Amino acid sequence: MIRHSSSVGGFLISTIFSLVILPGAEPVMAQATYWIDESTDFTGNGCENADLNNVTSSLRNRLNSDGWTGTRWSNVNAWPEDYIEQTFGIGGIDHVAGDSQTLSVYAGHGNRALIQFGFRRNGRCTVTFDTQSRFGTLGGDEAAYMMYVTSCTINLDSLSRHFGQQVRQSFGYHNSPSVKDDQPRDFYEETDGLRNSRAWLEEMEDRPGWFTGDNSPITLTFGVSENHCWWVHDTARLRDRILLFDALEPHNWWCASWFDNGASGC
Amino acid sequence: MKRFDLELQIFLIVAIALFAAAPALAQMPQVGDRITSFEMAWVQRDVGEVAKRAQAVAEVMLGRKLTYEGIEKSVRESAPTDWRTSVPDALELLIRYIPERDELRLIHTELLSVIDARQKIDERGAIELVKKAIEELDRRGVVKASHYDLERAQIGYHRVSAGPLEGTKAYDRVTEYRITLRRVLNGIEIANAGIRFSVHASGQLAAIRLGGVSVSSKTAQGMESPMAQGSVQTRKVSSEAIERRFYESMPENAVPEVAWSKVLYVMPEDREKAVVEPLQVFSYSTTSKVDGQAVVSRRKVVGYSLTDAEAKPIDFTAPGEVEADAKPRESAS
Repeated sequence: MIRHSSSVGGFLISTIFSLVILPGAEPVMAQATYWIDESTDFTGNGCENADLNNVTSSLRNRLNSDGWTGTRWSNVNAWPEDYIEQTFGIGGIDHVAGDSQTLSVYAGHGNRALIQFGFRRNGRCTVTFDTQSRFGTLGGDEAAYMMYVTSCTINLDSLSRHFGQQVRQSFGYHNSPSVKDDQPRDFYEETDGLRNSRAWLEEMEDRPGWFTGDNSPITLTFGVSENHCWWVHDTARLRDRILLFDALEPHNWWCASWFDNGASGC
Repeated sequence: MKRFDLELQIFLIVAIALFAAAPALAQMPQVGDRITSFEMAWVQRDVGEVAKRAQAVAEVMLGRKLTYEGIEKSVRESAPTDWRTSVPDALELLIRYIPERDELRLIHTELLSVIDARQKIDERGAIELVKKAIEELDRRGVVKASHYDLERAQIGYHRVSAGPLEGTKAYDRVTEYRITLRRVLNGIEIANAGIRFSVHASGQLAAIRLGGVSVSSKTAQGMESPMAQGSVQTRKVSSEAIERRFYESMPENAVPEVAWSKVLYVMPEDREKAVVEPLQVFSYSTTSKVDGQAVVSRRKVVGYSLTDAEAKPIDFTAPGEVEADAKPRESAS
């Protein structure tokens, strides 16, 4: 353990490691780009489920006002193939869609390592990550941060089904979450000063103003080693544009933190 | 004789269990019982008032005195949605005040990175620490200890885990106990007011969140009654009838899983002030088959009236207006 040692020696090693060695090994160009797909209409489109509130419009607006560039598509324009690996030959176009920008967001329904869209397209409503997706540099693409505003997609029992992704961090839920309209935006804003990994947990544990602790938000981080993994976990900040570029390769370690309020629904 | 002893023991165990459960059960209104609606509001506080509260909370968290001026500056500079503001003479603290929810949040940032501390405190110890913190916050005038019931503490955990991609999980640890106490009003909890303490495994307070709606009430003989608008009604709808309505409302082919269901006061999210009566609230998700696979919906929260069997349920998670894309999408873009 380096970053997390409580000893003075450990802290010094951590500081040197953080300030000198690791940053020197990282690329330097920040890429403030995003891709957002959101499904809210799940009625009568071949992918029946409960209709949802819109949770990414305000995030898109805030990203734009902060100088990010990107695309948001919703409902009939949000396609399953956006998150399917292009090189697999199964109709995926992730290289120009969900895996083409630094931050990639999907909001809708889900399950373990799975997301569901609202409109059937090419015979599909769902995308299963371990068999259909390779986000980030492993498939030669660009995503570094994935956000799933969906149920159970990062349920603890499915962590290994995310190991085919080579991104820095994924944000999601261990259970079925209740999410208010502006919470993804507020999470992004909180990363001005607070690390991504904690900001996601702090923002997403409840609906704003509620004290019911409904959600079990989780941040899953990857690194080339254990120390590198925790360093990324504790360092990356989206709004501060810290580590806003592709992940180092190859991933060998995962590390995660979450608020455990149960796995209801999953 | 031995058989008699065994029966006696079983009787005593059951009797004790029922007695222990009795206060909580007795507090829930049954059909024919009176239920009271209260005026609730997210109060507006000035910087000075917030700073005094923040100072008390920060001092309880750290166990040392801080200067009011430093706290006041931090509160003045804090923004509702970011964590940029630290306290000058407590740089390990980040502070945030959310005025529209009258909510104060403090985080001890140094503890966030300590995931391998020697476990100095267990769950019971964490609750003891919370009990002392509430007493101190009561003494400092920040909260009323009588508004909270430690028997109803909801306990969550901050956990960390890591491992190599090839191999088994290296470790899985609890680093914080997250203890939530909702404000109790005549035995019924309020969804939108409370305190959450995060107790680090090292035995220190890692975070505190407190605030929410304020209730316009006066207290006499341990019971609160409305001071402004509000009224007393009689519960007319049974839990069984409400449950029946709830399950009948589920769409075909969707299997509900109820995370929790309880009688709660819930403040409408879009109102600054409202007269609120308790509802039977369900927090649930549904599982459906899509593409031959199980898919879980996002969580829904719905409340049913206890006084009017015909009243439309309140969907706290209802979809709002759909924003259409500015242009049609024609091809891979």
